[in-house]
Amino acid sequence: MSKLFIVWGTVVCMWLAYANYTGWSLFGEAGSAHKGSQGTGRMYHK
Amino acid sequence: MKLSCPSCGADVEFKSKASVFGVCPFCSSTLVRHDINLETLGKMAELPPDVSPLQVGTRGRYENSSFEIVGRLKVKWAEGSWNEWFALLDDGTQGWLGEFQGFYTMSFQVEDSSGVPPVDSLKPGVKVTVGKSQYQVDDIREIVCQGSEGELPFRAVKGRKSVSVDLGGQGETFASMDCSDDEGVLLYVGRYVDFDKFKFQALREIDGW
Amino acid sequence: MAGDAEAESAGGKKPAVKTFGCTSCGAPVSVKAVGQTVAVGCPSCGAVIDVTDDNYRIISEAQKKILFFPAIPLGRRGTLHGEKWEVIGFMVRTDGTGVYSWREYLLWNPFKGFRWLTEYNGHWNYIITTRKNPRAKKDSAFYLGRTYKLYNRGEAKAIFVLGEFYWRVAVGETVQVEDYINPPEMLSREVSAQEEIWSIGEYIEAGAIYAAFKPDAPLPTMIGVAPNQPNPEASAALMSWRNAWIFFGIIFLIQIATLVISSHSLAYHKGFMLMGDKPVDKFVTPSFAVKGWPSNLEFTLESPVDNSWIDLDIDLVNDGTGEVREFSHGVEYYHGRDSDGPWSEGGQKKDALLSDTPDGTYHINLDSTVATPPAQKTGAPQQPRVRYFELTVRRGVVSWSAFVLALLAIFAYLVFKSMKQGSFEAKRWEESDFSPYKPTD
Repeated sequence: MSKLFIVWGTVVCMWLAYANYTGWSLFGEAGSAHKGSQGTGRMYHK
Repeated sequence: MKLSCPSCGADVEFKSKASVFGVCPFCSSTLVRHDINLETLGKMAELPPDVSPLQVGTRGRYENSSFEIVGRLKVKWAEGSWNEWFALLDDGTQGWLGEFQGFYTMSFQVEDSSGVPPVDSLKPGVKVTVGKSQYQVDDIREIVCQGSEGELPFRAVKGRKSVSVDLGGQGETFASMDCSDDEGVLLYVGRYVDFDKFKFQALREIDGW
Repeated sequence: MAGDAEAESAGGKKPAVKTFGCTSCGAPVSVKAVGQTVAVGCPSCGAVIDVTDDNYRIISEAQKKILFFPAIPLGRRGTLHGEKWEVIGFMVRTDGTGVYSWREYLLWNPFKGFRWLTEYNGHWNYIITTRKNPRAKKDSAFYLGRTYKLYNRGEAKAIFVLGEFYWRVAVGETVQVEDYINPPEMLSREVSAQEEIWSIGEYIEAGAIYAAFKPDAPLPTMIGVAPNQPNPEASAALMSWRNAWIFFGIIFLIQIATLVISSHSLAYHKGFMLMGDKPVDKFVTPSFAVKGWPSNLEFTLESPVDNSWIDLDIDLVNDGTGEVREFSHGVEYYHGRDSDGPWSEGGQKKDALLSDTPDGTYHINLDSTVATPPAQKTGAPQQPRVRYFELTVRRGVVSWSAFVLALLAIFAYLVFKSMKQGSFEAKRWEESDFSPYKPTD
């Protein structure tokens, strides 16, 4: 097998393993992250 | 059989009963054999030199038999020359080993040549049937005998003119015709054989090879 | 024959080289393939001599200047395909226009006969005349069970002759040629007034020629693609297709493993009532545990919207680190009837996926907004506002998009290799009038 194909295939498989590890989806939410202090707010309604 | 050369008295061996013509290896007289008598026709001119690896005395294998080369006919055509080696198989069968530009053929005379169309009607590409097989004409050449050595089954006199037709058949099969005024149509059938398959022994030594 | 000299080894008639004086310039000319060689090009003056003629007559006149030199010198020996060959002849030929020229080397072995080496644009071929005539039909030729495609049709003219040849070659002699290819082989047909000769050639690497004959100077550099040059991408592409299965297998295994270990477990579930008069509402959920490696969280929103919508601004707060991930979620559903019949759009349930969420304790801050129903004509009943939604949070949900992308990525490489193979073939046919890539005139 050519070196390029080995590298390419390995990268693809490693990416898939990582994507599945983090539960990634193409249609997932980006979900912008930030450190916040949102703790206050209204108590939830029963 | 060993006969005495009428010109120089040396022993001349005829290994084949079919050989009616020979060249004395000692004095180069051309000899015609009538039963156990030899008649001399004159001297055979020295053959033009060549670098053929074969020689009279070379032995080889063909299919399940062994053979020995006992004679040679050198013929010339417009664009060069080639050798026809007269080969004697173990069982007495007479064969012809054609040697042309590194291509080798082994063929045997077919007695009945009546089914073959006349030479004048043949040209490259024409199909000819011999027995049960079909062949196609490859080449037609006018040839002249340049000379001979050893023993041969016909009067291979220098200057003998004939038309030689080469035909190719299925696979490696080969046929050839020799058409002359004196002997009419001589028909041969055989095949192309690789040099290595012959497993030649007693080849001529070629300087540097 | 006048001027003959035969070098004979001592101790018997071993045939060796025959030499004579050139009829044109007197320089010594030697013949090695005695009995087979018919014409010789004099190395000193370029005249071609008929050596079967008693007087060594001149076939074509001396050249004013010797312009061509063989890359492999005459007399050089080399082993190719297991046999020893000696270069005894060299000629240069051009096509009808005189623009393209190529070089031919006659190889000789007294036991095996003759072979040819041809060189064009630095590409070499090893050639033997065929024993049987191939069959030609339209733009194809057939020989020993293989089919060859017509590549070239034209003339070949000899413009320079050096050394020994087995026919009466003359400078200026022209034949009609056709080349048919089936890489790595090329089938050629040469037709002259007297005869038709077919030969079969096989592409041979310049490196093999160099190793066999060890010429004094480097061989000509390779330009472009030779007609019968084997496609180096063909085997590579084929190997890729064969080996791709290994990667496809690994990808499948990874996905199966993912299926096996993904918990798809419930992390949080709650139904929310929207009580107030305003369309917006705020909620804060109690904390819930999220376990395992940093997998994903799937947020399923379900609400009985009817020709209406609900939007949520979701803040997922990590109690431990204080980190917040925010995103929008919502459902909308519309339906009705028109001239084509009933229609519907959207749905009452929708998923959103948040990946790479580490384990820990989280709570969610929700800001909901519902549609305000349009004002009705006086007297007509007001449409109700959406009052309820359900949020389900699941941990470790299996996604298939990465799996599909991985398969496509491997496939993309195969397509790339096939395209390289194809572009080599296009280059191969560039110089041909019979290219399958160009429309025939």
